[in-house]
Amino acid sequence: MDKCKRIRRHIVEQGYLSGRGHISSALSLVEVYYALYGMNYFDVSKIKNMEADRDRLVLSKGHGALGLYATLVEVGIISQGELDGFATSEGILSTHPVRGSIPGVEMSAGSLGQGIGYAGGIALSAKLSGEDYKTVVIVGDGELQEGSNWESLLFIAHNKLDNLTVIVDRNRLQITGDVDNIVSIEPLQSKFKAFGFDVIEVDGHNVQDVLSALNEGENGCPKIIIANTIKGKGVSFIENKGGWHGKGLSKEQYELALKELEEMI
Amino acid sequence: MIKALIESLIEVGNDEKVVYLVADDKEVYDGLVAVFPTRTFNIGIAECNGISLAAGLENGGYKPYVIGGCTFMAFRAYDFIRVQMCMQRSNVKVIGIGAGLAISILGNTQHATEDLSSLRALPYLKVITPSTPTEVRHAVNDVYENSGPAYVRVGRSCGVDFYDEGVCYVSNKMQKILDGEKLLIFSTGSILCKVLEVAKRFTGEVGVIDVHTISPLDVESLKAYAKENSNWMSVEEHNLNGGLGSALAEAVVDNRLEVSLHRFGLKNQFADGYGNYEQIKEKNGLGIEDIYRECLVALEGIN
Repeated sequence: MDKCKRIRRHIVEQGYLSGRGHISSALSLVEVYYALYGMNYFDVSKIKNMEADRDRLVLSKGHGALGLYATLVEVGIISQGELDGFATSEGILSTHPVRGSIPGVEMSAGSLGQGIGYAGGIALSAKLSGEDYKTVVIVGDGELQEGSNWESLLFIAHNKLDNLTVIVDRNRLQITGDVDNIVSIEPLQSKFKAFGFDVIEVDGHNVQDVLSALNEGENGCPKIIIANTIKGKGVSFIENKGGWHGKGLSKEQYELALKELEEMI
Repeated sequence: MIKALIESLIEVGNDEKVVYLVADDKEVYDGLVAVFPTRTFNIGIAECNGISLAAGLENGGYKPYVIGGCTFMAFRAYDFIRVQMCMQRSNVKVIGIGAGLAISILGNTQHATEDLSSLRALPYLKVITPSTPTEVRHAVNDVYENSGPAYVRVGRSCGVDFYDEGVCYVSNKMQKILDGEKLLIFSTGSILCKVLEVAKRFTGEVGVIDVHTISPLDVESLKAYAKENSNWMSVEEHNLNGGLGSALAEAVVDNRLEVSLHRFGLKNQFADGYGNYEQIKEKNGLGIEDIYRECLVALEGIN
């Protein structure tokens, strides 16, 4: 997907310009973001115009924000100029998203474990109003170590909020290393099923697979998509490597990354 | 107080955007679900999720009220209140049941004696401690009328409703409920009525101010009171670390008010022991005779 390459280019560029940006966390979500915004799953114009019945993404994994911003530029919700202000004192885009800063950011994120409940509240409000807009929440796999996520999942399943989709960015790495060596979250599928969710596991770097999972029919159960991803996907020296969590890129690294992205099929 | 709370919540529920999220409180849940079955949810023993749900409901255009135990809403869900309510300036209201030592017999895990300190530290959060059933109704109406995050902490009624004597409730303004020439006692919540009782023993010498809203603090009234009386005392059913007395002290220092302030409350302790509401207060130095003795100390200081 050419658009995904462009999104990755934005990520590495801003990671280099700002010297930060949770680049690896952003790179793992590119295809997921694109499936949501670039494939007519979300109604982009309603999001841009902040209409009351807009589709909503809650980025609970707030540190993946740079990838979201890059995607929003590519689908025309925000401008390149706004993206260029990323992580600068003059700009409006922070390393963690702030509600109200731009269309497309629904929740101030950064304190992990808050987004699923928040998205549950949005989904509940849609049910109360009889609206059929979509609500999606993205969580990290390390983030699932926070108990509050599971507290929220209990409520969502009990109240059959089937208008909500949870996507897990299963990139298997957190700051201190491999998630499953630190505090394992496996077996993840069976945990989610036991909590009352339909679970679909996909290759998180295949846009069509993600999109099919998103469109899979509702049967009264809320849905969780486990997107198997690679932290740092697209840049070989970042892929699956620890130590990249909050780091930016040096000039040399940026140029190497750009070269690799050009060569990417 | 709970009856007044339920009735006033029902009244604001005439607004179809109001939604109630009740954390397993039977009396409140039963009272609300009977009237608004589609807009009342029992969220179970899950205060953090309650705040998140509420913030999400607000995103979707609703006006949520989250009702649960003070200690669990204020302490367990603090980060959720901080980020999802305050940082986002969400129009979400938290109603805490059991302010101060109200839930006396269940022990100090249920005593809300540090929540004034922690919650008033949060920017944009309005914090109200109503003292009487009438004040509960006013507080619920106040937070409904005024958009923004709010925390109302409901304790026990002290039996006397001084609003029957013509006191007015004004949003964000403390109210003098008894005049006094020598000493002014500032208090909040259920203990206020005991303070009033004690003050009346000093016929005309000791006045009482109801600080129902600790945040935002009504500094303009403090400046006015400082001009009429320079001897102040604060009484709270709360830890002295950061509570009402501390809030007043901050205002005194920041505004260079020429007053002496004698603070009375729990001295860096939890309220220990077993007892009913009055017994627990007495065991921990907050009984009515303790307040009276402290008043004498404050007055002696003046004399």
